[in-house]
This record gives sequence, structure tokens and C-alpha cells, in this order.
Amino acid sequence: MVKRLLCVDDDRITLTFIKLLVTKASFAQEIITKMNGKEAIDYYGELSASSTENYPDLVFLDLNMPYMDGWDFLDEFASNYYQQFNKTKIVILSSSITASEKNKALAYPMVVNYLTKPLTIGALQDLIALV
Amino acid sequence: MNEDVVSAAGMMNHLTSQLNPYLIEQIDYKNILANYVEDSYLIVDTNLHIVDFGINFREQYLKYFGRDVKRGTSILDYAPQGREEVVSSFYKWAMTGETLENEVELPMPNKTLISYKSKYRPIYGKNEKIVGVFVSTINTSLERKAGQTESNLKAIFDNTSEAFLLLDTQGIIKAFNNNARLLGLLGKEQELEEDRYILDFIEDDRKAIIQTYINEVLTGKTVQYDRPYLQGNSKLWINYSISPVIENGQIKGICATGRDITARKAAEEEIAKRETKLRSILANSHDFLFLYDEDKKIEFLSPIIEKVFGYKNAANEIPNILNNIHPDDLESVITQLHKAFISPEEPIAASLRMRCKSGNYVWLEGTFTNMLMVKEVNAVVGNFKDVSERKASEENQAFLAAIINNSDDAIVSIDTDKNIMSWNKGAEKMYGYTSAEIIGKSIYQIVPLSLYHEEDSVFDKIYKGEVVRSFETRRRTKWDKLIDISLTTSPIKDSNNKVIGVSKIARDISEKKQAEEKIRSNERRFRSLLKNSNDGLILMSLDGVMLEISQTGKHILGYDETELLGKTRYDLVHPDDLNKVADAFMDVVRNSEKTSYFEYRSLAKDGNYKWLEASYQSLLNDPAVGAIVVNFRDITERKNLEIEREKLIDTLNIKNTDLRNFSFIISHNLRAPLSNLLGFVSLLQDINIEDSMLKDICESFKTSTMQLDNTLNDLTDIILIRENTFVEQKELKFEEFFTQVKSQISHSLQEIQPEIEIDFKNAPAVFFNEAYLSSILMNLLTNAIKYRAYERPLKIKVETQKDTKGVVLSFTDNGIGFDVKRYKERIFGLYQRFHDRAYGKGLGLFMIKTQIESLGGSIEVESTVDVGTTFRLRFNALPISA
Repeated sequence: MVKRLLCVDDDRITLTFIKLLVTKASFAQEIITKMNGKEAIDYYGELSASSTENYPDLVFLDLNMPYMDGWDFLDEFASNYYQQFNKTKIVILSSSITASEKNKALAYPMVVNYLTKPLTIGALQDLIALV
Repeated sequence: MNEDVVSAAGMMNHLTSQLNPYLIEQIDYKNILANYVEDSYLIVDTNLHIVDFGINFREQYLKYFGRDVKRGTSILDYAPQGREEVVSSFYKWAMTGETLENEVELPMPNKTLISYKSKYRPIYGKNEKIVGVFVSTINTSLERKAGQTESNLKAIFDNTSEAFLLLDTQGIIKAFNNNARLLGLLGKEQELEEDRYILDFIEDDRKAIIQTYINEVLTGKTVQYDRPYLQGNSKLWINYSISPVIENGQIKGICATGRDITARKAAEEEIAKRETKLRSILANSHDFLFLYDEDKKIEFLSPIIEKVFGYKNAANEIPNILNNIHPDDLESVITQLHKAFISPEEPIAASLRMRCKSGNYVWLEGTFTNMLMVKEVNAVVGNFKDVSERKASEENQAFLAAIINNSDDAIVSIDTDKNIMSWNKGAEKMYGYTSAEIIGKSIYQIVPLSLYHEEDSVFDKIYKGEVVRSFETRRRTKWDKLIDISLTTSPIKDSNNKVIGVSKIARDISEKKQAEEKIRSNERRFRSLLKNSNDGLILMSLDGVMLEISQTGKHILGYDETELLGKTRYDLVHPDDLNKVADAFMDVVRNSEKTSYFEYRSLAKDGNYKWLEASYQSLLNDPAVGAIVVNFRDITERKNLEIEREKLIDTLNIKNTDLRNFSFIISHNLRAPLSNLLGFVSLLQDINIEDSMLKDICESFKTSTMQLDNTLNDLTDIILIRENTFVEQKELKFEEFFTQVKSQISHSLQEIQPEIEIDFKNAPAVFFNEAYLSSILMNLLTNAIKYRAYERPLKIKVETQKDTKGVVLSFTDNGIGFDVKRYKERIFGLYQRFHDRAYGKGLGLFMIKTQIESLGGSIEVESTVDVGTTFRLRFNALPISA
């Protein structure tokens, strides 16, 4: 079971849906939500300052977001925080289904999977094995 | 040449020349030279007159008899008194062909006895006739002396001017004369004593060297050396000679002699001084002097060798002269050199090219003189001058003469009286007179009467030193024909710069005149063309000044000639087109072969810009035009239409891009909430709903969501097809794909039981994309099922044909059909449905069209309401690359 799950998506409904699904499937103990890449990076900034060991072990990341999109978040996280939070695993959750985007995302070392919305119970069960 | 012969040649020729009057041929010269030439010899003719003598003979005679020997005098004049007859008899005996020898002892005027051994040999001339006698003499006195008594020896010792010292083999003094001390054979201070060791009388610093001399002499050698010897305040030069005394082949003692050679040394020094002086004179000579001695060694006397040939004047630096003579000159040089060898003291002229160190040849001109018999020189003397410059100028002159002679121009010179001095071949050809006919005659002979004044004024100008430019005039030929010529007149001056005549170079320009006339007529034709051309034409100079403009040109631009001609009007060119026009202009200026085409805007008189299609062509080299031709045509109307069309295309492109972006945004923005809906629907499924109404609502909610998902997927597919630049294609078998599609909808097919007839044998396969072909066949089949006529069983016929353009697949059903006239334009449009059958969503045909067209194919349809529909799909023959 995931201890702390971070969901980054600009759509509140999506976040609500994920919370419902995660709760139903008892997938994570705690769920933290951020509305875009910028908020998520700021959150990691705070974590880094407090030098806590208690950081999210899994992230659901949308790609298409305002202010800072998923790609910029991945770059920023990889260069500034991945060394410190190196047990972090990221799953991309996108409505886009092009192969090039999928390959591009999986090239990041912390990205473990690329899923197309909507998220399903089955997909969560598969993820448990990975985490 | 054999070296021995060459080296002997000098000597032989020397003798030959002396014996020349007798044409002696059969004497064994070489033998004579080898055996006797070192000794004194005498050659006497049949009248007993002296022809020649060896130098030794003369010296010896002078020494003992105090008289000089002269050629041409009788030998009997020199015979010792009372011996004339004896001498005469020896010669006469030899002239009978005998060779005889005698030995005589003669008392000399100083009372000493001298003994001679003489050999008399006849000299044969032509026809084996005896022409003289060759006498060689050897002074045998010294041999005799050795055998004489001690007292005699003493007498000789005392009376000679030489210093004598006799030692035994142990170096013990046996005898010496007074001069021995005087001339330094013995030390000065000691009392002279016999039977004492020689080194006791030698000064300390000389002892070692004298000992080595003695040792050397005891091995049988003779040691000779010169040494200065101080006597009072004067310096004497003494020649010392130390030699072994040999009796019966054994060394019995040592004889040392000293001879005062001060006078000779002084003379030698004088000669050396003179030689130095001579050399320094030669050093500054511009002539090129060398000595070529018997051994073929060359000695250059003048350092000019270095300047002219680049070789350092040192024996080891100078290469073999014969190897450096120009091959063409070698034979003549050898001939001349040979001539020099057989003609002593006579300068033999030669001219040759010699290779310098740099590889270039230098022309030399000069003489070889055989001075081999002149003892002081003993070489062939070469005296040459570098005449390269003169040769070059001679060649130039010859060249110029050849040019003048062979020129097609008439080249004539006249003297101050206007009489013809020279007349070349060109003049003969042009005026008809031969040079023999005309030289010496007046120049007016060829000047037409009407041009006498012109000829006079030109002549006067030249005399005054004025420059007369070439001018065109006429001349009269021998046959009274007038010809057009171009004439160049120049003064002929002597070395004092005084005019001594006039040269006239004339060129026949009759043909040129005709050509000019032709050009003029061409020009008239061209001008008329210019006026009447339908295109605008402008003639422009190299600096852009307009020279001419055609009527049409004026009409197009609206200006009159005064506003254009004589002016550069780049101000009329639209600023945005200036570079283009300038580039095109430069193109033709740089490359006259080229015509450059361009379009530009020109400001017309009415204030509007006109679009012109123009070309530049350089006819600067064409004498008939001599300008750059601008050809232009008004294309404003066409251009405006083009611009409008381009604008329209731009707008369409922008709109199309907007639309595409819009469709992407729509599909993406729809996708996100739809995903949520799908998610929630899936959650609903697990909830047990009691209320039947709510259950219906949820069910409908689910159905609508699924429909929305399908539609959105279709739309996304279409966008992807349109955007894909590369779609993989390969050879696909129709039958295989059709069977596959049928199996995918086997449920419906089983229910409806259509009659399907397939015929793929004419074109069993096609080069196409796998997914597209599946999709197309699926859409066609499901379409046929959807729109089947319920009242009759469905019949489908699928067949393929091949033609030159590719493969055609026709798909025919007997369904409800549609009104082609009414719907033709929209049949393949998006979301077009022509029936109210609920499950048709109007995407199928649009998808087929999109797919087949994206790979270069096409689709057509024929349909009759209530009869059926036929789709014809054309697959492109070749794969479409991106």
C-alpha cells in the first residue's frame, strides 16, 4: 500500500474521482492534491527545507496543466529534487494517447508508467505491484 | 679524342708547322717527342740550313760558345773551328738514309772539355724523299767527369761557380771547393777540414733536416731545394742539389752542389709580379678569357665567368666545358677547335651558346688561339665575349624584319624628298606595284590627286614633330582603283633624333567599310523594330542611362521621351524591387551571354505602380546595338489576380490551421471530462441501485457516455490520419483482409445471411496501409448491412480490376440507395446521414474518403434509390512517400 500519494491535476473533478477510486481500492494511506506543476514543485521545496523523510512515494501526474505543465515539473523535479527524494515513483495520467509522448515520459528515470484516463480499479491493482 | 693524341697534338703541330715547307708526313713524331724532345735537338734541311732547334740546344750552345743560334743559317757556321768538314760529312751521310751516332769531345773556349753524343736521323717527306736531318745531342760530360782523376776534379771544382761537396756514404767529407762555404753548403765559422763528419759543420737548427736529406740520398734519390742565404747585407737564393754518386750500380758517396740562382729568382719574382698584374688586368676585362691546356684542363683567367655563368672560378667548380655547349653548336665548336690545333697562333673565330649554372644559355662570340708551342702559355687561349644581348637584339631585328615583310599591312617608308625607300609584300599586294617598280618613285604615285593636300599636311606635321593619329583615307592602286585604307604615319629618326624619313602603315579597310554599312542598315531595321514592337523596349547604357524607348514602352509607362531618355530612372522602381532589378542588371553586365528575367513594379505617369515582366539582355558587344536591352510587358492585371489568389490561399491556410488547432483543442478538452464521466460510470456499476427510475437514468447516462466516447475516438482517428505524414504501406491481399473483416462481424452476418460474391482474381493484391484497408472494408461492409433493403435479401458483390493507373475495387449492394443528384456534394462529408436509421452516425464514408485520399487514391459512388449503391475505390499504383 502506498503511504503518501501525490495527485497533480488541474481538474478538480478528476482529483475527486481519483480520491474516490483510491479510497475504494484502499490504494494509499494519505492523498495530497496539487492543482498544477508549480504548486507541486513548491510543495517539494517545502519538503526539502524541512529535510523530512516523510515524502510521497507515488505521484499521479497530469501533463496538460496551466502555470507549469507536467513536462516542466518532470524537468524541475529531476534536476533539483530527485536526488533527495530518490524513492519517488511517478505515474503519468494523461488524456493524450500518442506514442511519442509516452516514450518521452518513460525516458525519465522516476516515471514508472503511463496511463490513459480514466483511471480504473484494475490499473490501481496493477500499480500496487510496481510500488 | 684520344687524350694522348690531344696532349701530343700541340707539340706535333709545333713541329709540323716548323717543317711545313717540306710537308713531312712519315716522321714518327710521337717517338721523336717521347725520346728526344727533352734534349737538345736540331733539324736541318738538305742545304744544311737550320730549320728548328730545341731550346736546350740553343742554351747549351750559348753557354759554351757564347753565340746565339738562328734559324735559316747554315749549320756549318756553328761547327767548332776545323770541324766543318767532319760535321758536314755526318749530315750528308744521314741524307743517304743512314741513321748514325757519334761521340765527340770538344775543347770549349774556357779550356774545359765537353763531350757530346749525337744521333743523326734522316727526315722523310712526301714520296719517301729525304727532306732533312734530325739531330739529337746529349751532353755526356758529367758521365765522363766521374771517371776523371781527382786532380781534374779539383780543377773543375775550383773553377766552377758552383759549390761542391763530396761525402762518403758515412757522411764524412771527402772533398769540397771554396764555394762550398761561400754558398752555405758548410757552416761559416768552422775551419774546413776533410775526413770530418759533415754535420759537425752544419748549423744546429739545420742538422736534423740535412740528416734526413742524406738518408734519402742514400736510398738513391736526388734531393733538390731552394733556400735564401744571407751574404753580408744581400740575400742570395741558392739552389741545392744532393745526389748519390753511383759506381757500378752501387752508391759510393754523396755529391752536394749549390748554385747561385739569385738572378733567376729575381726574374721569377718579376714574372710572378707581372703575372699578377696581368691577371688583375684580365680580372677587370669584360672579355671571357680561358686557357685550354693539353690535358683538356680549363683555366679561366677572367672572373667574369662567375658573373656570366654562375660558376665560381675554381678548378673543381667548373664543369667540363664541352658538356655545357649547346648541342646545336657542339659540332662547329669542335671543328673550330680542331682548326685551332692545326693552325698555331692563328685566332680561329667561333660562336657558341654555353649553358650557365642556372640552365640558361649565354651566347659567346670570340676566338680560339693555339698557343701550345708558346712555352709561357702552353694552352689554347679562348677569348670570348658574352653577346647574348646583341644576339637577342639581332633575333628581334630579324623577327621584326620578318613581321614587316610578311605583314598584310602595307608598310612603306619614304625619304625627306617623299620618295619611296622601302615597300613590303603587303604594299605590293595592296597597291599592285612591285617593290622593284616603285622604290625611288614619289609617294604621290599612290595618292589620289584630291588628297595631295592631305598627304602634304601630314608630312609637314611629322617634320614639325607633331603626333599624327591614324586616320582613314584613300589610295590609288596601280590599276587606278581607289581603296579605303586606315593609315598610320610615324617619323623615322636617326641616332641624333633627326627625322630622316616617314613610315606609313596602311590597312585595307574596304571590307570594314562594307561591314559598317551593313551594321548601319541593321541598325535602321532594329530601330524600326523598336518602334513597332508589342513589348516595351528600352536601350540602356552600361551606367543605366536610357538611350531609346519603343512606342509601346512609352505607352505602358505613360511618360514621353523627354522624361526618360538621357536619364537614369531607378527612382521609378518600387523600393522593394530595387535589389532584384540591380541584381538582374549586374548579372547581364557580368555575363553577356545571359538574359535575366525578373518581375518588378515601376511607377507609371498616373502615379500607380505597374507590374512589369522584364528581361535584361546585354548587346553591348553587338556593334549594331551597343546597349543593354530591356524588354518589358505590363502584367499588372495578371499580377493583381495572382496576389489576390495568394492572399486568399494565405487566409485559407490560416483558417485551416486555426480549424485544426480548434479540433485538437476540442478533442483534448472533451477527452478530459469524458474520461471523468467514464470513470464515474465505472464506479456506478458496482453500486446496487434499488430505485428503478434511478437505475434507468444511470443506464441512459452510461449509454450516452459510451456514445460520446465512440464519437470522440472516431474524430481523433480522423485527425490522426490527416496529420500523419508517414503511413507504412505494403502489399496486401484483398481476400485475406476481407475474410478477416467478415470474421469480426460474424454475429451480424449470421443474423442477416447476405449473399456475398467476391472476385479478386484480376487484382489480388494492392500496395496500401494495413489498418486503413481493414477500416475501409469494414466500413463498406457495415454500411451495406446498415442500409440494406429489408424487403429483399442483401446481395453484395466485391471485385477488383487492374489498369495502368492502379487497382480499382468496386463494392456493390442492392440496398436502399440514395438520391445521388441531391446528396452528391455531401455524401462523403462529415456527419452526413441520408437516412434516419439510428445507428448511422455519418462517419463511415468520411473515414473511407479520408483514408484512401491520404494515400493518393480516390473514391466515387453511384446509387439509385431502392436499387442499390456501388462504390469505386481507386488505389494509387505507386506507394506514396511522405
